[in-house]
Amino acid sequence: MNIRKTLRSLHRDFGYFVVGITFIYTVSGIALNHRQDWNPHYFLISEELTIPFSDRTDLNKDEIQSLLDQFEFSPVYKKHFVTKSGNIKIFVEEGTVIYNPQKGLAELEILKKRPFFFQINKIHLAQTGNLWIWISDAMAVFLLFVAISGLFLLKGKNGIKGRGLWLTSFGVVIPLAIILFYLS
Amino acid sequence: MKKSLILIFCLSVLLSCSNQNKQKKEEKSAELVVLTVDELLAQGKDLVGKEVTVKGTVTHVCKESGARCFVMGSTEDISIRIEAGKIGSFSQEQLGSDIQVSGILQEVKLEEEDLVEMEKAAAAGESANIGHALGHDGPKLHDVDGGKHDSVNQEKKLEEMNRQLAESTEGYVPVYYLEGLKLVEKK
Repeated sequence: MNIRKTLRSLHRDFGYFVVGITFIYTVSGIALNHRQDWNPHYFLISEELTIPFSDRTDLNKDEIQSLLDQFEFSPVYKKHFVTKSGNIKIFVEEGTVIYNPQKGLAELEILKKRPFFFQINKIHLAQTGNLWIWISDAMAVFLLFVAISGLFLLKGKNGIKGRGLWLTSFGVVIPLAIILFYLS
Repeated sequence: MKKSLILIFCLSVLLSCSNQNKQKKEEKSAELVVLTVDELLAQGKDLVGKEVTVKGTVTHVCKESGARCFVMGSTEDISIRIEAGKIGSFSQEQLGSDIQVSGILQEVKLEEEDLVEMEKAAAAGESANIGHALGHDGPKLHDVDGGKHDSVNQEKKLEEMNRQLAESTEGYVPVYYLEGLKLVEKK
């Protein structure tokens, strides 16, 4: 049996197999890397409403709903309570409204799922239940196999004894340097 | 091709069998008494390290990844942090919903030096939230994810913690949180 030939076949087939998951992990990886600059999971919708001042905080559900109806976004009421600072915190579907009766100001914040990114980030972070953890473990094993088998596919000056060695070493040295100089 | 398919198939079967065994074990977990947040915090010292079930209204969900949420008791000052743990994650849709969560109660012990460090950070205008002891920690991310209105008032909470520390016979302020195991959403 020609080991190199078998390795080449497995490398090719497993390579095809992990294309989808590699795409998901890399795209969401870039999105998650920059989470200090944007929220990769949700986007924010905010709206302010100016209404006449009032001293009342004992509003019932119907009164709160009529307040919510004045927003262009038409948030859906869930629950509310009065905070210690005298504001009314209203929970609505996917967000909150903070109503300050004394200032006559109501501020709505809704967080909507960012299409595509929300889902692939969940997959990346393995927040989809136990089954996915096992599947992604298996995918990681296949990906590792593809990476390691790739080292031994070529002979000659472009193989692991020549150009391949230099490039592989370079790829290992970069994260090692970060670990040694920044994380030790 | 044939070898590759056989290998992929064998690995998949192996993993799915392991997963089924794990799920069966989880189903066997005993039913527990459901506590309110107030009750849980009052009995916290005796329940640390044990599995408990708590119910309450979700007042905050971590906007970054849903890795944790806060559940409120009878007032806004009484709340407990719940780390998603085995639940996976919480979602923004759960904000304002009543949930019931089972998990292992954990304790963070804040000593005098911790509070001093937190006060220094608060004075410098930085997050002083060691172990999320002050509640949810959104300020540093508010520019990108909203939530301007539910920032924690660090100074007030630290004042309260210093008062608790002065009254404490053990020399620390306990902060409890739940490492989530199972979630039941009520509405």
